[in-house]
Amino acid sequence: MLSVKELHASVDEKEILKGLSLEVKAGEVHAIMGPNGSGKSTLGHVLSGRPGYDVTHGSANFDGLDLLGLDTESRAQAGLFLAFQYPIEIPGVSNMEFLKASVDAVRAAQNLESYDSVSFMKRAREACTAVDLSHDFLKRGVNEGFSGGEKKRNELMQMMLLEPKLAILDETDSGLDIDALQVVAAGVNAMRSPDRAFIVVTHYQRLLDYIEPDFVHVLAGGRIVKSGGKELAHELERKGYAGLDSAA
Amino acid sequence: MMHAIYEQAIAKAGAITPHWLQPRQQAAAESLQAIPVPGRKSEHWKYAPLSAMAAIELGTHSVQSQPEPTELAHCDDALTLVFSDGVIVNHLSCQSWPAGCSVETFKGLSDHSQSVVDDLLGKACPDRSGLVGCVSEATMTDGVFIDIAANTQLMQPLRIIWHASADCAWQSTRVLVRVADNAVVKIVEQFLAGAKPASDYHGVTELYVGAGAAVDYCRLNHSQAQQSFLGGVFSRLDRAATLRLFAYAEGGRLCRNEIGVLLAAEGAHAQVDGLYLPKGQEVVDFHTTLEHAAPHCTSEEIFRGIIGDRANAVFNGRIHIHKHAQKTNAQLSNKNLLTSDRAQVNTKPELEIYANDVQCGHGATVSQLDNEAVHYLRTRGVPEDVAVQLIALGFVMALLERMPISELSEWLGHHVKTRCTGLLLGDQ
Repeated sequence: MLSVKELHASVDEKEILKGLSLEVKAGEVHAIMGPNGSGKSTLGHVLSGRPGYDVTHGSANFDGLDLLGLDTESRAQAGLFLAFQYPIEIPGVSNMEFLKASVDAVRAAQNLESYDSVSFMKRAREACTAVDLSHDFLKRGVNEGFSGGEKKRNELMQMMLLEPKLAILDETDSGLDIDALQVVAAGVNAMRSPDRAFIVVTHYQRLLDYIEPDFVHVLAGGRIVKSGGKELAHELERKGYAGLDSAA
Repeated sequence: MMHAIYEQAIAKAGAITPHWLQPRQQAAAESLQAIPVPGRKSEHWKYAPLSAMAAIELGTHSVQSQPEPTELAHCDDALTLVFSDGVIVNHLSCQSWPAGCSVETFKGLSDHSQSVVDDLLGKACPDRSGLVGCVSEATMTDGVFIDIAANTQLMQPLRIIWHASADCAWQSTRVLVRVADNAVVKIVEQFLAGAKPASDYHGVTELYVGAGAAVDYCRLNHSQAQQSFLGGVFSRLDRAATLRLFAYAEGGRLCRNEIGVLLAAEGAHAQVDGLYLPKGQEVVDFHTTLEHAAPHCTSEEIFRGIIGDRANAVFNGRIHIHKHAQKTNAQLSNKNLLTSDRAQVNTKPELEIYANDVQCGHGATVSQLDNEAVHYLRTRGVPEDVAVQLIALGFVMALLERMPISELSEWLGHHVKTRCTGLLLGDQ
């Protein structure tokens, strides 16, 4: 589904990703861990098309498409979703209006019929309930005045409505209390399916207790330096990245 | 030195104005001779000089046309008056008015109404010898007098539509509204963009709000790039009267509105809001003045603007608190969103306070389109132009939700979306 090869990317002419390669197949969950500044968030931004992130070398193929050649909205319309580490507040734009515009655009691009407003409202309410957000959040401005945890749950809610093929969760667990963490994990687990893949970027093994990954990768210095199964996360938790670096 | 267009308009008006207005018209024409056409050196016109107004030929009106129904500000059950080229279109206008509501054109005034109009006309204009008032009195050919009797509660909005046919290069409109004590009324006044590429309006409206009365007034100025609008709405509020005013302006070669509110007696309250959306190379200019002349009055003023391309917006908001106007509470806010590097806004809140026991606040901000927000929406599949529309609408949403005539807010919301289409892509 996603094939990233030898990806080099810079921000303000400073190279952050230095030859990253990653293969993700449908149905898989990949966890990416790594120390601060290793390029974890950059990977999500580059794949989702954030301005200011220049790809200098390498390729990313998503479901047969040259992902890096598409504009940001086309990547989303093709089925890529990035849950932001720091979701943006957009005052005055109601969550509901935003979600409708978003789902309409994505479904239109995939030649799917758009939902009428009644059935869309029903789906949006269900998604809210699934991530334990009150339905009032649909009326509020996008992320406007939301707490950190509410913003993260709002990201999950969008993911549920957009039904992406590949979802990248960028530190969705940071700033969440244990209850919210379980809500988020349950949301992700409910969406796991043979034709959908996840890349879960996290600092902590804790999230992976709830979302069990098929693969764990360690990102350091802009490259994946070690890959393994879920037991690698436990090893990291015990030894830290420092122990791993010396081993690598 | 007088603007060429006014000379033509005065000459033309002289022949067709009702007889009783003619002395007033001659006096105004003489005063106007002494007023120079304001240019960049005049403080109140320096960002939007009147001299920029096109020198157009008035020509003669021959064919009257009618506005398209889709152009009209949508509000259910409105009691409507339609004017085309300054002349009432009877078959599109309401013919029977509810009890307590009298509507007459200046040409058809009863003797009693004539003496009321003759007495009130121009008295709400803060500076009667100023340019806006003078031009109006010198050039008006007709007008509307709306008289609401005491204690009348009019549920249906009154809607006044001004339309300009393809033959109309310039027209001068005038509205005088008297709302007697404890009456309640909603009024929508809409100036449709003329059918001619260069088609100008001069429009002045006066609102007299009696003790305990409540008036909701929405003014909608539509225009196109080469069209000009000059005018204003001036009001006088009596004891415990409430005025909620909303002004919407698109922009044009020059679209200037002066808004004056006189809080003349204790306990009056004014909510004065406005929205402007110039794009291309348009200019929009609001000059507002709130005169707090009595104690225990409150006012709240919120203006927001989205300025695109190479457009230019001017907002000058003056609050004048007189010496005896103790316990005044006056708040003013102006926020602007620039969607291009070459868009410009000149905003100036002005407080002039002579009383010592008042609460008064003002603020003005100028911001650019939040690229992070645009990107966020795009990562959700929303195309860039739709993202900009959504953010623009979000920027003004709080204002639309406050609209005094709530039936209009959805209609205007759609209008704002359409207006903001292509703001980022504009290359003028």
